[in-house]
Amino acid sequence: MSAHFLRHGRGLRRARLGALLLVLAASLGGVVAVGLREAQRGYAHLQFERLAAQGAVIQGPVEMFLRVGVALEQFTGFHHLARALREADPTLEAVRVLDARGRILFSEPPGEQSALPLPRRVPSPPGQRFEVTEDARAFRVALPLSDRFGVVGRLELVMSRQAVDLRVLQRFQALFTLLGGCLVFQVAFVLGAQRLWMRRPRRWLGLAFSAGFGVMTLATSLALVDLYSDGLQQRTSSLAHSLARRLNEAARLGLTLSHLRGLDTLLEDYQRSNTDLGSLALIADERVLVQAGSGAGAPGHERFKYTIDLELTEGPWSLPVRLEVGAAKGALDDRLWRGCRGFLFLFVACGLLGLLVLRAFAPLPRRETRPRAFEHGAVDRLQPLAFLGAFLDGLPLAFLATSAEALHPGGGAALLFFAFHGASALAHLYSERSIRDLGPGRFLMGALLLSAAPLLLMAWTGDFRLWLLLRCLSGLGHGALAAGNRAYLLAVFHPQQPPAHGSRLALSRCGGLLGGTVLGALLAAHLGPRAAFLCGGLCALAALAYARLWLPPLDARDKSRGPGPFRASLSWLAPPPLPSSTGSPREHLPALLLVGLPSLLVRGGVLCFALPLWLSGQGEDADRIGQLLALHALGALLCHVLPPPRTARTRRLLQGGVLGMGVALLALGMAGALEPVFVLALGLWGLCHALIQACLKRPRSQGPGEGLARERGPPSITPVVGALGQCLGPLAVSALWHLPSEPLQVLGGLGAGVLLLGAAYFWLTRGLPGREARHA
Amino acid sequence: MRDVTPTRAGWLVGLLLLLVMPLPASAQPEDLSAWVDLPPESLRGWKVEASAERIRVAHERPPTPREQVREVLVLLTVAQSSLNWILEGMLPVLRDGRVRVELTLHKLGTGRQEQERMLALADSGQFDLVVGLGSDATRFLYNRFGNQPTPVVALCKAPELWLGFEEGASRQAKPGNMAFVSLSLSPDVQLHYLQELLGPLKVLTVVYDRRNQSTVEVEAEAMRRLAARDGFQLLELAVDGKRSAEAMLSEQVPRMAHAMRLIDPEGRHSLFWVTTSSAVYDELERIDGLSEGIPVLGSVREAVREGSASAVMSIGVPFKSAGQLGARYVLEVLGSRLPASRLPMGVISPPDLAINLRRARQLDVKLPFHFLEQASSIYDLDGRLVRQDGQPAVAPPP
Repeated sequence: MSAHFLRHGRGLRRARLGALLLVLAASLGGVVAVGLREAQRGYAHLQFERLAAQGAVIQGPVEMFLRVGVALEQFTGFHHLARALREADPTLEAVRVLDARGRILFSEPPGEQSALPLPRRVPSPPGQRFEVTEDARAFRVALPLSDRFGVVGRLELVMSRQAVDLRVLQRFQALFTLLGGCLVFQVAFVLGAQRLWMRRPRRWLGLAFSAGFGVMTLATSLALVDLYSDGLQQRTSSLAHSLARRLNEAARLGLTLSHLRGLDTLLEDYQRSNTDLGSLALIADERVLVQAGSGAGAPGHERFKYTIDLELTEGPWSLPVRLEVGAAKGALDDRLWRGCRGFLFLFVACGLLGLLVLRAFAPLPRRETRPRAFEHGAVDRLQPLAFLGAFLDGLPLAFLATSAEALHPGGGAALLFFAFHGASALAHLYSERSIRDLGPGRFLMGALLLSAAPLLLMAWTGDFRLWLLLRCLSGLGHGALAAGNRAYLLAVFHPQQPPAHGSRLALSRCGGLLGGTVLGALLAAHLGPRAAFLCGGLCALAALAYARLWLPPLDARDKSRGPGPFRASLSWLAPPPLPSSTGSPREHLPALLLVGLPSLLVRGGVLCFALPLWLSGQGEDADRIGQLLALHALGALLCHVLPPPRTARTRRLLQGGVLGMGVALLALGMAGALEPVFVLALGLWGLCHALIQACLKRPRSQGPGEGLARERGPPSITPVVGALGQCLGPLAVSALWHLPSEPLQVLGGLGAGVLLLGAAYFWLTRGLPGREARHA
Repeated sequence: MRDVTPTRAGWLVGLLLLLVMPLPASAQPEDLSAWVDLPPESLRGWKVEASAERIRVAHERPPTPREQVREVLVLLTVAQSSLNWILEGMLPVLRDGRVRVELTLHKLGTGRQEQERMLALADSGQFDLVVGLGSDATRFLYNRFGNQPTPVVALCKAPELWLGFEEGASRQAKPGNMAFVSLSLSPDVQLHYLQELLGPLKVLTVVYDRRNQSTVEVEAEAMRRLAARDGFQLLELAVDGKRSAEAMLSEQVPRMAHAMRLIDPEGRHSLFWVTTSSAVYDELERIDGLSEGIPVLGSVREAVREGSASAVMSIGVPFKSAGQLGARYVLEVLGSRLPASRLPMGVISPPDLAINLRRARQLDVKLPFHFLEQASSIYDLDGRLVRQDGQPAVAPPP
């Protein structure tokens, strides 16, 4: 199949259909994949809690024994307790007691002599009383065993992974069938109803895509509800078992409820350590004996209520006693919302990608006959590359800082980001000559290859020095891709006609950043960072093929154009970040230094470095971190989606941007621990950041003389300042991060700094004549 | 008849005391090897060489060339069961510790010459650390060996109360070379448990032996402080040694119980608190019998017994645990270059509980559920021991 065939006529149509179907299949499959992984993780977590509740049945007696001062190895009665647990739960492979040195003291089934630590630790929320490790075959839940002075050993419960996976797959089988049906419908619609959607592709394809996505999301959510409900029931049963054992101990001594008090405290303890339990009540003969929380009979907001008969077999407990547990509605809602957030971001990212594909594979009119339509189409075809550049930038955002700190504590993350953005800046500065020598097309291929290779290599190495080198190369690729993209755009345009589609490219970049951040985080959370790097590398390779086959032909441009104008136009493409008033270099510099530089410095330092580390420290998973960071990109996207403001108000917009950004950072610093504040502040920050950048990069209106003057003028220092900000941001913030007791306070300080510098800039430029008019 | 002036009476009492005081000491066996009697499992891995003068406890395994042996001098003052329990707790921890420690046990003695000899021994440079076991040894080391180069770990009842220093801002600075482990529970913790059992206290009668100095200075004084702070009524019942205890308790306990009933007619928020004086807890049956339904509780495990003649509950510190903590302090001090005084005072937590369910039911005392789970010893509703050392008690053969 020749390139010519794919670029024109039927070949192009087929390629377009193929790409559309690929995006549809990927997005619908993505919903199921995300749901499946979420289910595996959420269900596994419920199983961990269940195992921990079961483990407490052994942990209690062992710790009571240890408190007396007897050595752990002298505990008798382990096998009796452990055997009873294993008989009641077939998924429990083994129960062991290990001393502080990791030697097995007791094991059920007996015979195991050593227990090698499992390679991966499952992240746990703060305050969790147990630790979970895993490998490809099993999960291991470890509860500490403490005497009066500290931890002297641990109790381990080993559960087969297969048990969790099988249960989840069982519940998801119907979903796979539905996915198949949905895909068939989508294919039939895309192939069979071309006449319908060709006229208004965005409406009809969007509708079909949304319907398919909605159905799959709904079905996946229902499957998750079913599964979580099942997991909660199992965990509740384990809690009941543990409670029954403790009550039986009292019953064995001949005590009844009338001899005891503090059972409400006991239930409250259960509730405290299982925060999603809304209420617990012990009920005998339809009478509530003891209760904690809103109570079994009270009108609450619980959605799920479980009743377990306590097997009180000892002593005077002749009444049948049952435990009623109300799982708070919020428990399931939280878990579901966690999955749905992923679906929502996936929907936005896939929708954007679908739109890009739809446009990119549209026929390209001839320049000679319809020059405006040609330019429009050329931008459409370059948009996927702009998307990809930002996608690759955002891909490791959620997890790279944490991974780097793990490899090189105390500055690894800041160094990696410094290397990446520094290399990107160098590529920006020195790409011009290479573009002239090689031509934009070949340069772009090289940039894509340079973007793909380091990501693929990062998937296979865990050495920090290599990571540093590869991030440098990645940064070079990133900068070169951006420069190449601009150069290519310029090359297909008429030399005297600067492209007027910058906002569409910016939109693609925001979409790419959002999609990359979310997808990278999802991949890292579910499959590990390696999968995210691989995905990035493969996407870059796919883009290489795309760039080779579908970029607008360069021979369409005016061949009389020489290297001089090209150079000048390249510097134009990194537009001077002048607000309306900064006509001369003397006024330009304060704008850059007082508004542009702080904005990028804060973005590089806080968004790339500080927030991922802080969120990770708060016990958030990589996917949650990605979703939160993506809010920044979402805010920026909103800025580009909204109708462009009137140019006469640029100064006001810039003021609004600085004010909004400062307020957002102050809010993060003061109340960032509150989730709604965090979410709103991050979105506002993204919006304001994009607004500031848009204002600073807004091209000045130009007459022919002005354009010529710029061609002859020195290249702009804007990209250098921008890259400097991104480079130095992580280093500066990492130096400040540990100074206050609460790291988020640093953000408040940065917010105050942004406001002060912004105020200084506006004060310095307050009296300039005709500042608004220059923007007109 | 001439009046005896107070000064002369003071001299007479002093003379009498001088004659009486050595009596308990002379009751101690002279042979040091008779002081220590440890179960074989505690001595696993150790080699013991005992003589009348000293006991040497060394590792069975010879040291490797890289291992440095750290010598520890242990000073003892009284032969009693608590000494054995403390050593029982210490030895397993020292055996498995990261520092190789070998112990030499010596009697401190009460005579000036004997004490000077021990002081010279401690200061001779043969020992890397000195351990003082008991109140007298601690006081001696505090007064005579404070701020010396050799570090000291001292185990005694509430040292901060009767040695006159406080953690943090101090009335009197803690010697730089000394670390302390308390053999008694923090009074605040004890009160917390009492209040959890009986609710806000109205009246508490503390029963102690005024001849037992540490009990007077530590337990009775702590109760006075707590009563003033928490606003409950404190009554004190002091006996004068074992001989007069029977008569005094027979007379005073009903009067005290009557007084308590006047303050708390139902007796639900009142108790008799039996201190660690053996003169008192040996008479527990009498106190319990005359208490008119007011619960008797104590800080010593022996106060809770089989049958009905028992305290409802004891809240105390197991000496074995204190020994373990003491051994950890020894290892910590030997393993670090920092002064021993930087270690906070070692306090055992949570306390050791022993409960007699029969007495609790007879007195209609409702037990918090977690007390049952925490208790290391429990006597059931028939007064039989059903849990001991955290394990189900083995019933004796019929």
